[in-house]
Amino acid sequence: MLITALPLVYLVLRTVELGSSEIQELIFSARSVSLLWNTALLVISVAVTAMIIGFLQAWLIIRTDIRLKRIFTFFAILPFALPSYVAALTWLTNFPGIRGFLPAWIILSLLTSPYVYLAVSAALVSQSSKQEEISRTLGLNAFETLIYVTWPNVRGAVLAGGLISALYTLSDFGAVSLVKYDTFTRAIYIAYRSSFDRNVAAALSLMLVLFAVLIYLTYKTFAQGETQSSTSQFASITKLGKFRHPAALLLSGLGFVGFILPVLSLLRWQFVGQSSADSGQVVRAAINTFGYAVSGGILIAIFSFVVAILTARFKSRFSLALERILWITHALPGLVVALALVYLSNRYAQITYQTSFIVIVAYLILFLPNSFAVLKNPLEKSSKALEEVAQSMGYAYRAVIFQLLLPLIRKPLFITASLATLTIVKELPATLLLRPTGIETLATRLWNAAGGKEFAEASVYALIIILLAGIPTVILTLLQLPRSSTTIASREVNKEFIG
Amino acid sequence: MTTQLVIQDLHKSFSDLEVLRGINLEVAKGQLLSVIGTSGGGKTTLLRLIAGFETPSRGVIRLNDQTISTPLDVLAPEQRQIGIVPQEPTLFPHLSVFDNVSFGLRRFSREEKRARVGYLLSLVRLSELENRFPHELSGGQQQRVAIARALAPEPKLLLLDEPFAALDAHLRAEIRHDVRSVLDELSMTAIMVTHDQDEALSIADAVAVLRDGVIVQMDSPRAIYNRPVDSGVATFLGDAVLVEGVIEGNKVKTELGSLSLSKEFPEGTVGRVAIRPENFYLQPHLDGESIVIGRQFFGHDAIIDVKTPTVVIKARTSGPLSPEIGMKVSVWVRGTVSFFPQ
Repeated sequence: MLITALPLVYLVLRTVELGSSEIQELIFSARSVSLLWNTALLVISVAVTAMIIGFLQAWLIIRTDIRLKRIFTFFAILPFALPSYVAALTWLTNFPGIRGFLPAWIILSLLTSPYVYLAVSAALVSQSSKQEEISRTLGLNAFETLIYVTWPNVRGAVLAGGLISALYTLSDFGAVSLVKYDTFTRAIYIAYRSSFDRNVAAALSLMLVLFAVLIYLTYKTFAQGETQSSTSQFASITKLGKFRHPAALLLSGLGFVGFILPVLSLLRWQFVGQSSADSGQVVRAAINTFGYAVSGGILIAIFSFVVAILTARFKSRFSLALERILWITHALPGLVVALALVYLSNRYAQITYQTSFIVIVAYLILFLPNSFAVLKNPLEKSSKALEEVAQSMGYAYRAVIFQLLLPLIRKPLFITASLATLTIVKELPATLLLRPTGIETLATRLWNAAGGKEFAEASVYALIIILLAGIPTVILTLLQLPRSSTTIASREVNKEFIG
Repeated sequence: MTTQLVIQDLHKSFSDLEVLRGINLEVAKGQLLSVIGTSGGGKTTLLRLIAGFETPSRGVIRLNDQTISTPLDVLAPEQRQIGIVPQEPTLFPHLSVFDNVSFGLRRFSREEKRARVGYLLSLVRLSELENRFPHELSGGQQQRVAIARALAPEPKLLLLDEPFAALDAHLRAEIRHDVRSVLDELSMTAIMVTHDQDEALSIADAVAVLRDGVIVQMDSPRAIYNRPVDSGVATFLGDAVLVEGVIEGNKVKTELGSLSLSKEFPEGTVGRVAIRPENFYLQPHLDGESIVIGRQFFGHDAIIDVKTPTVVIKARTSGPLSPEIGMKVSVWVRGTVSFFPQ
């Protein structure tokens, strides 16, 4: 299980190999500065935009008298169905010439707003509207109440959603590469592909990871002071009045641009374009993809269950260290993990180099932390007394684990494993770098076709990915949505997993 | 006395559940009306209608001769000048005590705010705590802040939704008394809903009993306690033993003897008689026909369970002089009792 620490080992090894003077040279080079600027600009713009969109959606849907709430909820989450490279592809198919900051900003803002939406709507549902009502009786109108009472109460949730949006943007590889906007991930990939000296890629990876740490620390300083939650049978609804139609238009527009338009343009290419993909190729790619996804999903389920039990029930130095490592690797971009595994397998374990085994290891490192986080909460919440009662009735602890704890977290385990499986279907950078020669998945086929401007072919793969992984992800998320009461587990699934 | 709030034929349904079925109420200026009813009986819904958070299904609410709620038109809560003190204090967690109380005073200058908040905090006896945050206050202190906050913008009407329910018993009596004196000081009109008869009777000018969505009786606390309109109200507002009786002359004849009535009924009317614990007088007596079977001792007084040859009664006696379990007693009924014809 310490396998998850491999990327960290790699980063440390490379840094030591490089030596301080070389690192300094790299960090202060003109190229690094421009990458840093590009990345920071994108991360901040996307996070802020996603926070505004997600907050507005959540407030309008949960706390106002807008109509068609179910449809708008669906719209708000639908962008989860699109991996970033698929979203970028749809924009490229419509506007082949677009490139740079603007498309990257729009695409990633739309894609990551659901994280903010989910966090804020959960916060709004869990809080009674009593404070808002009191504010109204004290003479503040609906808008003033939104600013002075609602906002301070959900600020924490908005920032938490913004953090996920920022980290997603930072580690995004597919979208920025397809629209050719130079951020760290794109530069790392180019450096890896083109240069003989992979030190550059390694140094840039190091900077990327430091950037992620910086974002997290910034979040920590801003997200001080938590909100209180209390539930009430009464939730008062703000009447939008003359703003009702503009608000509905806004929500429809977001759903249209965020999902419907992309899918329509993919469908259009089925008719106007000539796909060079033969059906055998497509089927093989699908089989490979699901082979990886299902085996990865099962392994993640097993490992996350074991690690969750270890950390929740057998506290030791080892389990604590394990948990910390999981938290740190949690924020690592897929590209960095992939680079680390390329380097380590090539140098220290040749036998695994470019095998499916190493691909699965990458998935494990990337997605185990989420599943673990989802499972740990219900386990920690379940009373230890329950297990002690079982033991006192003659059950060995092994029996307790399988007959008590496993059934207890069966549902979150199933959901998180399913989401992990679907996420693997959509994963691009690690698969791209690590897959054995000759093995293609849906995502890598799409990537190659899009790179060669074979949009008709690329859109075939895109549609399959949306249909088989994207839509199920959205449905699973919808099923987990908090209504009157929420389980922490499902909220964690929603917030963290889908990507 | 001028009438401040008028409610006429107020109905409210949630889908097919009719919670309020024709409420008629009038509250005079400076009056404290307590509305008492069972949990889930529509008390909170009534307050929410008055505050403007719900739309009536039927009926009218008027405040100072201005119509503020009809099924078609509901004046926004922020335009009503009606303050609310909810069951839980519900202070704004991100604001200090001072900022909580001055929340509704945004159009005031800094000096005016200082003066007003200072005055209100002194009224609720919290002057030294204005820089604290809600989580640093006890439950009772939070509730006092909530009261000061609701009073700050000088509302025309104050609504109190079971304001003492979340407090400890000993705090409850103290804050109850404080609230009454603050309301008097400001000549504030107020409606308090509660399910606790002590609370309803002790500080209100008038009590309205809300049952099954209608007001079944509204009167002064004393009148409502002594002359309930039916046996339901009688038992709801305090302990009472119910026995069968028949009118003979100006008295009612029961198993416990012929009892005096507060009002006259036609000869021979059959009905039920409600006798309060304090109507009973117990006299220890070796040949007494009744026997003490239980005792709850409160110090200043005691409630004694007595088995008479026909019924079991509850009697209130002076604490120090209360009889012991197993003692034989004679039972007398003093004062007038309530009679409800069948």
